Amino acid sequence: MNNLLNFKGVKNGLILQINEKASFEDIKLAIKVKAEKGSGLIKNSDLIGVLGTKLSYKEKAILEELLSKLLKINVLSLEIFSYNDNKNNIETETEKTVKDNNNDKCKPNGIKFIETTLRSGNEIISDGHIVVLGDVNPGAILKAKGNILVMGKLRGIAHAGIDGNDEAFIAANSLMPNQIRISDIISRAPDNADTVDRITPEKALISDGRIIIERL
Amino acid sequence: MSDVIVITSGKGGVGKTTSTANIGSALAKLGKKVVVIDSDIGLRNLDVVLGLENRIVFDIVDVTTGNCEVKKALIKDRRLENLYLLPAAQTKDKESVSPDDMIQLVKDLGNEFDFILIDCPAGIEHGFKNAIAAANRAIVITTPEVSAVRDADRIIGLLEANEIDDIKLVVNMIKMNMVQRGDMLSIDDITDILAVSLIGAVPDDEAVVISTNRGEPVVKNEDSLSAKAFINIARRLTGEDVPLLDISIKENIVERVLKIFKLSK
Repeated sequence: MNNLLNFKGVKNGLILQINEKASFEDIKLAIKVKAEKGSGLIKNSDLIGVLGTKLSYKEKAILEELLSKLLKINVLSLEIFSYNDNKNNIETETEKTVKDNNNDKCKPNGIKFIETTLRSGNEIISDGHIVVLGDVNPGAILKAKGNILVMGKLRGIAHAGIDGNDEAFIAANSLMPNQIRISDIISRAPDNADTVDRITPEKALISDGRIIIERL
Repeated sequence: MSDVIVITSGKGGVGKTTSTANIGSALAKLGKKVVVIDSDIGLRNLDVVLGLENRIVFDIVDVTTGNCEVKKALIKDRRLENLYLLPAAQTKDKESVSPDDMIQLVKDLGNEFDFILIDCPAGIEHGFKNAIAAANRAIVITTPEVSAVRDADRIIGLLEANEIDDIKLVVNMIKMNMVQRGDMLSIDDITDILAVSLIGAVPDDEAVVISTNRGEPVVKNEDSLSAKAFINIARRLTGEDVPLLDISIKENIVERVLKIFKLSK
C-alpha cells in the first residue's frame, strides 16, 4: 500500500506522487491509512501539485476534501506538477522566490540551470547561482546573487553578486560579454574588441576593486 | 526650447534608425547639442548602430519608472562631444512607457539641448504614440517603393491628426540608375503623392551598411554620397538654406559614369 502514494517535499511545498496503476478507490484508501498512521511532518504543508496520474474534476474535489480533512494539508493545486520546463515558468518562479527570500539578502540560494540559448531580451534573475548550458546572446541579461557559469559563449550582459557579494565570479567557455557586472562594479568590452571568437575558458572576478579576467 | 523631432515611417526597414543616428551625428558635428532617444522598447537598435551597446547601464524605462534621473541614463557618444543617446529597454515591452511619460521625459531633459531626435518604432500602435507624444516636428522616412510610400502617407495623416504640422520628408535608399531607367519611383513621384516638403534624398549606398555594421554612423567619413546627403539634411534642419544640390550631383555622377562606359564601348 505504501508506494501507492508518496508525498515529496520541494522548495515551495509538497507534491503528491501517485502510482499510475492505482485506482481512485485505492488512492482514497491509501489516504485514510496514512491518516490513521498520523500525518506528522506533512501536516499544515502546502500541496502544490500532483505527479503520476491526471485527476478528473470530481476526483479532485473528493481528494481535496480528504487531504484537508484527514491529513490537514493545505491544498493549493491538484494539477499536474511540472518542473519548470519552459522559460515562463522559470521567470515566474524566480519572481516568487526572490520575494520569499528578501530577508536573507546576500546568501545565494540554489542553482538555476538554463538549457537553452538565451536571446536578446531574455532576462534571467536568480537568487542563487546561474548555470547556462548554451550561449548568451547580446541583449540578454543574467542576474544572480551568486556566481554565473556559462557553458558556451557569453556575449550579453552578466551581473553576478547583485546584492553586493564581492566574492561572486562569472565564468564562461568563451567570455566576450557586452558588459560584466560583479557586485556594484561595472566593466565593459573595449570598443575595438576583435570580433574573432575567443574560445579559452575564462573567469571574471573582483580583485583590488576592479574586475579582472583570469584564464581557467 | 529644444527642437523635438520624431523620426518615423510606418513601414519597417526603411532606415529610421540609421537616419536618426546619422542626422543626430551630423547635427552634433555642426556644433549642436543633440540627444537621440530610442523609443523602440523591446527591439532597441539605435545603441548598436551608434556602437554604444556595451555602455548601457540605465535605459528609458529606468527613467520613466523613477529608477534613475534622465541625465544619468544619457550615454555620451564616444566620437562626438555633443551627441548623447538615451537607449530603449530590451527586456520590457512598449506598454512600460506611456505618452505622458515621454512628455515628462522631454521636459526633464530641459533646455540645454538644441535638438532631441526620437527614433520611432515601426507601426502605428503604442510605440508610435509614445514617440510622437513629445514631438513638435517630424521627419518621415520613406523609400521609393509603393508600399513604403503608402505607409508614409498614412503616417503623415496621423501626425497631422496629432497636431504636428511641421512634417518633412526624407526619401531614403534611392537607386539612381533604376530611377533613370524608369524602374523606380522618382523623388518627384513621391513628393507628388505625399505633398509634404522634401528635406533630403539619400542614395542607396554600401557605405551605410558597412559603417552601420561597424557601429559608427556613415557621416563620420564625409566622402560618401550618403554622408553628404545626411549632412545636408542636418544643415537644413538648423535652418540653413541648402539647395537640393545633392540629387543633381548624384545624377551627374551617374550620368558621367554611364557616359564613360558608353564611350569606352
